[in-house]
Amino acid sequence: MNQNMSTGQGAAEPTRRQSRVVRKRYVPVLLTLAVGATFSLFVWEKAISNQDHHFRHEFEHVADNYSLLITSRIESKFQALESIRSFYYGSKTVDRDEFASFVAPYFKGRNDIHAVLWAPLVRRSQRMQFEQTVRAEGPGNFYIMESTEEGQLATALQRDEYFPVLHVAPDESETAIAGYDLASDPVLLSAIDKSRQTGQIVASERVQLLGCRTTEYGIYIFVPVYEKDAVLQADTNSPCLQGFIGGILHIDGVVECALDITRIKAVCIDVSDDEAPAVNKVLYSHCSSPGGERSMPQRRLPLGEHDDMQHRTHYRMGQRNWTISFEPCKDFFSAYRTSQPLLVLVAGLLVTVLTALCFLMGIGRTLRIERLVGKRTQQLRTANDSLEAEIAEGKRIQSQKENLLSLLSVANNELIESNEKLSRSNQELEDFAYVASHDLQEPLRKVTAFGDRLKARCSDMLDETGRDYVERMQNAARRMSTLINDLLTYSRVSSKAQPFAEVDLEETVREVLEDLDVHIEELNATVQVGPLPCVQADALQMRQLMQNLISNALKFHKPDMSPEVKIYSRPVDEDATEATASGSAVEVVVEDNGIGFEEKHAAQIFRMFQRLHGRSEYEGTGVGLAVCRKIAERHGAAITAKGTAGVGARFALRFASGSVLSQSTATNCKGIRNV
Amino acid sequence: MSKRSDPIAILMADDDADDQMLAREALVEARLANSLYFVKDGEDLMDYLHNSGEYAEQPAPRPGLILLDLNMPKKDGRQALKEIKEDADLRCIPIVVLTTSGAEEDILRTYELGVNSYITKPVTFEGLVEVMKSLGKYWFEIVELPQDEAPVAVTQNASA
Repeated sequence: MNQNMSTGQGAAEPTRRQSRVVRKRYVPVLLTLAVGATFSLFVWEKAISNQDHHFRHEFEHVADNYSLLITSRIESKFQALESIRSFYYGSKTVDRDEFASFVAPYFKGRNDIHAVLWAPLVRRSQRMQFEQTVRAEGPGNFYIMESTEEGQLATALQRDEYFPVLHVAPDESETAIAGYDLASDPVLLSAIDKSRQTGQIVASERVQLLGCRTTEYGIYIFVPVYEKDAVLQADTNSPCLQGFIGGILHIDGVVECALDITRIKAVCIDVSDDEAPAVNKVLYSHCSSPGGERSMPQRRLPLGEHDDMQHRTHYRMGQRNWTISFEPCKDFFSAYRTSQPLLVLVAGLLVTVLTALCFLMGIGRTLRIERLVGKRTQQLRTANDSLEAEIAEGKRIQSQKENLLSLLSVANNELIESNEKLSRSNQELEDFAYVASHDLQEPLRKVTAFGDRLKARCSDMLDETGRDYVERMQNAARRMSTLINDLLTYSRVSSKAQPFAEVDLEETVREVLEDLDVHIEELNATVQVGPLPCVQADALQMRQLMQNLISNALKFHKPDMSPEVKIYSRPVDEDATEATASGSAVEVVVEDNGIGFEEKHAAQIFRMFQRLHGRSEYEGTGVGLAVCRKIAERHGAAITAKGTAGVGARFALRFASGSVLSQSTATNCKGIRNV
Repeated sequence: MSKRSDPIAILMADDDADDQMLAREALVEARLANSLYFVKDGEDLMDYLHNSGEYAEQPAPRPGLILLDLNMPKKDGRQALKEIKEDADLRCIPIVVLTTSGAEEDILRTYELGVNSYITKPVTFEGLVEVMKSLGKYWFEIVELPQDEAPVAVTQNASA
């Protein structure tokens, strides 16, 4: 993801790719969510349908139960009526009181049976007599009545048959219904006829009940009673029909008594008469909404799939087909409803969400890791870059070093070359000097030699002056020879320079004194030699130097005094910091008691060919000290002169501490030597 | 110590006329009766010894001793020395280098080449006389020299 973004295009590319990758990355999460949600919903739906089945099952069970209760109740009513019939069959006659007392128990504490009645068959011909008979026995105003259009009771019109209500229980209904001709009501008549024909108990349609304060409806159940011992014939006007026992059922009451309606929750009960016309179809309707009110018909609130959850029982009673249907109200299932589906859904969603979260965490972690990797990669890149930079730097330094080395080797080569050149030129110089001095000496020799021949062969031809001239010529030649030699010596300080080695100065001085032995003896000189250091030096040159100094000391003695020469050394302080293990700087001193010199000439005497005295006084070319100084310079030493005219001279050769190998305490340096 | 009947001829190779003269006079002073012949450079020397060049018609006497200066033009003494000592016929002639050069290099080199003696020319005439005396005593009285096959013709002094 980390790329060099040089252009805007380059910058967009990785981002797009990045977002693509990011989107791709979240696919599992989304997938999980989708699948999980789908699955959860699926399972939830399954659970709900499961629940539905359960509900349905429960409801069916409940409905069956209720249905059974209702039908059994009705059955019991039928049985009651049949038992009344049995009563009639069992007794010769049944009068009002008997009827009342027999029937009474059926009313106890119940409101399902509105009334039980006895309606005998009265033919037209028998009407007058019948009414009179009844008036004689009981109520005085008994007439066979019928209801008018206005709903009033009026004396019945003439008909072939009457079925007046003779006996009625309970008593309250009596006044309202006594004498009422059941046949006058077409609904009742059809039921009666059916009953006569079939000889079965027949139930009527719903009719409005008479004599009720409020509008009440009921069902008439007719139980045909025939003459004892009569053979049942299935034709309309069976002569054996005595009458009908009628029971008026409050369907409301039936249902409510059967079901203890107050305890029923959330079930809507419909009892309907299949064969009745629409207006009388619904016998009973109850919907127990939370308010508990009965309202019919109230459409219940469907619950989608519960729409068709209707339990229908088809009940045939009294030759009629009833349908008892139950429907659950929406509250019905609240008792049964479990939170299972919800739990399942919630659980499913939770699991989904958790899984998605896990994925997300995973992704987050992956992202973090990627980011970390990216960061680390970046760090590594940076480190790599800096490493490469260092390597490049190192290479650069290396190449610089190589450059330097090559430069050094070039310089070295140049040095070697110039060294070679130097030694070549030194050699050339030496050769030149040698040859020059040699070739220069040669004529001088001739002058000297022929001067001698002259003196030898021509002495008689030469007078004093002539001989003197010859003498002077030869002297001049000799001097020139010496000068040339001295020049050669001076030049050889560099051209014939030897590499430094350990030089014991005491040894050197000893050798010089041996060389000068004769001279020392001649002069009766005293030479004292103190401990002298060992130094890093050119042995031959040291010898030259010491020879010059000592011979000078001997040469420039006071005329009437034997020379006393002291040669010793002493340490001197240079910078305190420069003191080394071998000691500080060392001075080698040659002191004499000769003629000395004036201080102002101290520097002058070291110059080439400088003399402080004429030739006639002291011999010498004046090169000795110049040579000494050159030698001292070559050794990094310093030579100084101090003198007092008429007292003596002191020449000090100061070696730098670096040149001093060991002080006078070294083993190879001997003690004082007195000559 | 037998004295030869014929005095040995000494051949001196030196380019310097003055030195030639001084040598002759030194010989005289040293009372040596030997004849002294001179050649002035290395080529001359070889011609003399080989009887070639200007010596072809008049062969010169074979020297019993050669005094050789080193620094000569044309062919220097060192080269001549080498050639003589490589020559089967000539190598038995003793050669004494008599030169102004006192260089160690020369001394060593010449002895390597087989020189018989090396003498640095003295500065003074007296010194030269002494050298001649010593030479004569040593080479002609003390030392035995090989006999020559070729007869030695005694001629007058070649140079004045």
